[in-house]
Amino acid sequence: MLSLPEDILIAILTCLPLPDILNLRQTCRALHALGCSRAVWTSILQTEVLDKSIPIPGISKSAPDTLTIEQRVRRALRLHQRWTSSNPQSTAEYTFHAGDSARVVDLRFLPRDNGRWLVALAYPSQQAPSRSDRVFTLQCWDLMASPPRCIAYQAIKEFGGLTLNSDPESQFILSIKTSSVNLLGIDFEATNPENGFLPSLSIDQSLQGVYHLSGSTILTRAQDKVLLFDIHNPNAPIELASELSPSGTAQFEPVLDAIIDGSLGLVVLIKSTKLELYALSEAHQNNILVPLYTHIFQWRIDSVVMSQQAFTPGSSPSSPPPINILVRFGSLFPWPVNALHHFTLEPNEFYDPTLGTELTNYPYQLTPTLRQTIGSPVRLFATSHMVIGTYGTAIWFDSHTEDYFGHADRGQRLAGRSLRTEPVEDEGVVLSSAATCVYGVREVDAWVRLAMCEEEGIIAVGAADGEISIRKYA
Amino acid sequence: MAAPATQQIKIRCNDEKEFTVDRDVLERSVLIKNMLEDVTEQQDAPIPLPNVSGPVMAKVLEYCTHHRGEPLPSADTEQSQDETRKRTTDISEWDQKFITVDQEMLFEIILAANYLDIKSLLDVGCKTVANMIKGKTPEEIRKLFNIVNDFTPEEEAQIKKENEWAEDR
Repeated sequence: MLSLPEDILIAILTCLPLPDILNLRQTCRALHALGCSRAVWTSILQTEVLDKSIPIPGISKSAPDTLTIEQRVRRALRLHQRWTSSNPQSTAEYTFHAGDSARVVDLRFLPRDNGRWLVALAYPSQQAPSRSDRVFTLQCWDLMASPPRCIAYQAIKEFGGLTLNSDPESQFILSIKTSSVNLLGIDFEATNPENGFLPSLSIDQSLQGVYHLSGSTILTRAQDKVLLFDIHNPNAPIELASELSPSGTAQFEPVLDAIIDGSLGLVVLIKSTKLELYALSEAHQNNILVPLYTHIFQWRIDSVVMSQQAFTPGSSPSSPPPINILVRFGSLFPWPVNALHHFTLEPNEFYDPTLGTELTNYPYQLTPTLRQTIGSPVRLFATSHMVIGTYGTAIWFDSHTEDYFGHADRGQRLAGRSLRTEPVEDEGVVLSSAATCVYGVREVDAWVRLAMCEEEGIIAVGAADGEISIRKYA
Repeated sequence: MAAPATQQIKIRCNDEKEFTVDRDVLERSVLIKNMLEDVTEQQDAPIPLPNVSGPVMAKVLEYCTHHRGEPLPSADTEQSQDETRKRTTDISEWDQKFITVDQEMLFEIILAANYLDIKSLLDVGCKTVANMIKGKTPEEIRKLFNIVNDFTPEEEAQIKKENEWAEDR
């Protein structure tokens, strides 16, 4: 076999699954050298990692790249294996406190620097009953430091909502609603955390809240209107106006989640009973935009998250990324339904990207497709929260603890599942894979918020007593 | 109805063995196809193939005759790229039977397919070797291909360790 020329040997290795390549290169020096070669690992990286759209942890866009291709493959596959196992074993776990007797009310990773920065919002549990006197604390933690270090800290009065910028490059890292809407940057080098948050812009228009921030585009609520505008030009808003209901009334529904895709010229909004698609290119008559399409859900939504799946194996690069939507419906009763529904908005194969989104050219098939229903019981008044990532991982906590602690009236489970839809060969059917992964359970209810950095395999969970626990799987 | 007379081409292997073959069969080989296109006039002299022996050429021609008329894969179509990306080792039934030969012949066929530029045959050969390797331990692979273990014990331990990461997959 060794008499074969190297390019043929490489072609043979290209047909082999990874474990066999590792066995082959243990046979002798020549095959070891070949099994370590760049050509072979470039091919493995493509087929085993990139084509399967498995995230590679530890790859930073800014820092110089010292990893070999083999190391990348190793890291990616190791994380993938741990992350998607039915009983994921973490590689590191630690906890810290967001303040004494404080409740973590919001928790999110900044979409930059490999999950290094965690933004937390804490609310001291002993506080004045009057809403306007309540003081929240906004914090940014450096998880690279050991123990994690708070690099930015700010007291917030008249808190009315926190939104992170989905664009990692933007100087406006987050927006916080107080008496006005404030856009903040962060000084990651700040020596005094009190000066860590940098006020960069304040919008004085009477806005009730911010739904979404993407670069300098902001989606807000003003009175009973949903307004979209550029933060530098708040006086030229576009109103996204819902269709009237069949009875002719238009009861305002707050936006539960939004996707603004500038390259598609598309806005997707989810409200408590419906999903709306807006085309930004459609006539700006009076600057009012009506939905191209409104999908009415069968039941009222209790909670929902959605995300564009950034990488779809086997899809053509020009087709828009599918949108995963994870919904927990409400019921007639005061508690939500004990199931999560996974819907997708599938790319429309007839979409012509050169035209952009318009009335006759939709990037997506209009009706969401129900992919799967996941059992996820929640007790009455129990807290649940869910997040979804661009690689299609969904993580949530619920009250499904019977398997661990028997019948109990307390207890929480931290669970997840890959929602990724992958084209299945031959039959052309799209199926989703994998059983629910259980990342943790606890016997008492304390978890209130969770955050995920999918690329690095990090889960952060905030508790009612101010504890933040970090689990790493990379 | 008579089929249109196909042009007959003569080739000569490195052991002086000669074959007379239909042109379309020979044109499965991109090398020969290009040679024939360069030559405009009818030539009687056989095409010399100094890198292929008679017995191997006989096998190769058996393959080309079976697959005559099938579209030739162009060098870098998307489809062929997709195929190599999949890490599959599926081989059609006829090809599998055809390639069931001893190891020496298998490697000769691979070399000939490479030299003659017959991509589909080269693929079949590479996949066959890959199938022989699949699922085997390093020691079994050594035995199969008569590979001499030239690692020092220290190197071997080191290499075993560096490959352990994937074992719990």
